[in-house]
Amino acid sequence: MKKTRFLALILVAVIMAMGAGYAWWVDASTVTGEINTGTMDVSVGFANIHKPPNTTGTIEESEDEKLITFSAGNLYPTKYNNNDDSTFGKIHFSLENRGTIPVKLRDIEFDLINPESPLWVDLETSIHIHKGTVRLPNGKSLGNSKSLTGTNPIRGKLKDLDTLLLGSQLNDVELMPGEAIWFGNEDPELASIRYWVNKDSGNETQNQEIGFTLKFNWKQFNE
Amino acid sequence: MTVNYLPTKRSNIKRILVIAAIIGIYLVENSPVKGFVKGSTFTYIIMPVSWILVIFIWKMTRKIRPMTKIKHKRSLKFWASYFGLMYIVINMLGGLVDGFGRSPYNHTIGGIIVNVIFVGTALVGRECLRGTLINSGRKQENIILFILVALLMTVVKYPITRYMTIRTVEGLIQFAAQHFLPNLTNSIFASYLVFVGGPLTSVIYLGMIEAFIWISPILPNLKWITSAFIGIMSPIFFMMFFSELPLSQESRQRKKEKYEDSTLSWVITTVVSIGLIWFAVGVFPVYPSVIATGSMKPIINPGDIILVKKITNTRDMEDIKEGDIIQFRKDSILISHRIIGIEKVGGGNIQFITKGDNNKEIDWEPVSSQNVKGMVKHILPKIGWPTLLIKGNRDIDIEKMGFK
Repeated sequence: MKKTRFLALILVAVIMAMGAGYAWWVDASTVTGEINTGTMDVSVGFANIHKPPNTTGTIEESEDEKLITFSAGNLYPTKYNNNDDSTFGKIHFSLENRGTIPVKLRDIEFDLINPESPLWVDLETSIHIHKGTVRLPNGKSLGNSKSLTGTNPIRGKLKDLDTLLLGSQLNDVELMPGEAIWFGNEDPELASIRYWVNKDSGNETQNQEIGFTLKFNWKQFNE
Repeated sequence: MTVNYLPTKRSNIKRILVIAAIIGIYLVENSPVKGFVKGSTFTYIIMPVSWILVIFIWKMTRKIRPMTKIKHKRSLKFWASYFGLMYIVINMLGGLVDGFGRSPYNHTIGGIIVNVIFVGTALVGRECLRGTLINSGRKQENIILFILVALLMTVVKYPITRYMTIRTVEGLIQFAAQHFLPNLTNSIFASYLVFVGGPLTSVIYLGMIEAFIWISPILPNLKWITSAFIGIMSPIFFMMFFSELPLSQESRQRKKEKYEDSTLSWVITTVVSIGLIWFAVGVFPVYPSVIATGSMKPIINPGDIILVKKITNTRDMEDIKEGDIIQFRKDSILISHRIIGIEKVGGGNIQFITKGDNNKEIDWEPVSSQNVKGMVKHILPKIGWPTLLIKGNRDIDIEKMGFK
């Protein structure tokens, strides 16, 4: 079948080019380990950050869209005010079920960056979780969303983020194909996982760089 | 026992009906209709029942004879299962390189039974429809038809929301390489199997692969590039091998033609070529790099090629110690120097003090961990001179090498 060989030659050229592209894109600083079969595929849809004034902060998703890496620095004590977004930082991201089967959360891999930093003791967090449909390329969602945390957000220390999430309704939610979970307000673009330094923290929390890596592992749900 | 098949007749109406059925089922699967029932009820009860109905209707209609004679059926089934097994083995070999992970699927007895029904009915139903599409035409091989049918079957494999979540060019390429193209080539091979031996042959091939994915407690955790390579090339090679099996008069005629090289040697050449190109551009954990200057003489001389092991995680970074030779990026060039000191800086990060063995002074700027590309593992003397001759030294600014 000479047509088959011609087709194979084209594919070989494409694969060689893919290799060059992959070498260019590879992310050298994160490790990934989630099985992605296509039938089951829950990936990060978007991830962004709003930093408090005069602080640093980044949020990145890994190449395979499974691992989130957050870092922040130069944080300072503030008196948290729900209506004043200069008193807290916001990170928000979504998890989208792009596969074909319903899934449920199995566990969360959560690792602190610079765990010895005294800043972790005074770093507070407030979390809202919503469930809805995946976002379209224009940023809009289809249909309505539903809050998993109600009117009262989850409150605690940012260093206990995984425990807080596993203790919430997130642990029991069934995510259907085409559905998404996002951390924040009803509008995916608005407030999310908030973080701030307790106003009573001491000088030892100054000039600290902290962060975490976060990965959600899912399992098939077919009860 | 003899089975009577009716003569193959072209039937465009049947094809149109089958295409409509495939698209109709796809639209129902992706419609708001399923919102009226509990999600898992729709996925694990309604859809399997629908596929069983499709199979029943297919069974009641006129059977279409595939290309191969009945006496070769057993051999076809053997080869279909053999290639299915090969696909699994190749993926597991990929797992030896990239690692394994836990399967996300339900492995309780009840879960396995549900999955077998849920996956099996859809698989058999789709292959029956594929069989009608492929064999409702002429008896001659038609690669364009195989590709078109495979394209349709691949497009409907992914939910509409999956396509909606492709928001960047990189995302599109990764989805195409890791998922779409491997499924497409598998589907092309399945179309060919259906053409030669009917739907049962492709059910055996695809069924073995699906059974492994859904039942195995561990699965290879392949990088998307590995998954793309294995997924795309394996079915194509299978098809080339399969086409040379003496199962039909057409295949026997092809064997009489003189090829300059056998399929096996072509496969080997292709795999080696791809491997060499990927090695050169840095896909693998170890990559080559040509040395242009004499800052590391006498251990490393200009024209030598060093093999560098990539630093990809914090554990690799922690293994670096004084005395190791690392390759790091400084502005737009790569430098390979020895570590003579390691310092901890704020935020838990580290930086390296480096010096070329042949330099009098240490490099004036410490190297941060983010700029470290890898650790030099081996040196291949002199074989990099052709690269130096081609590139010359015009890209290298000696002032940037960090001499005091």
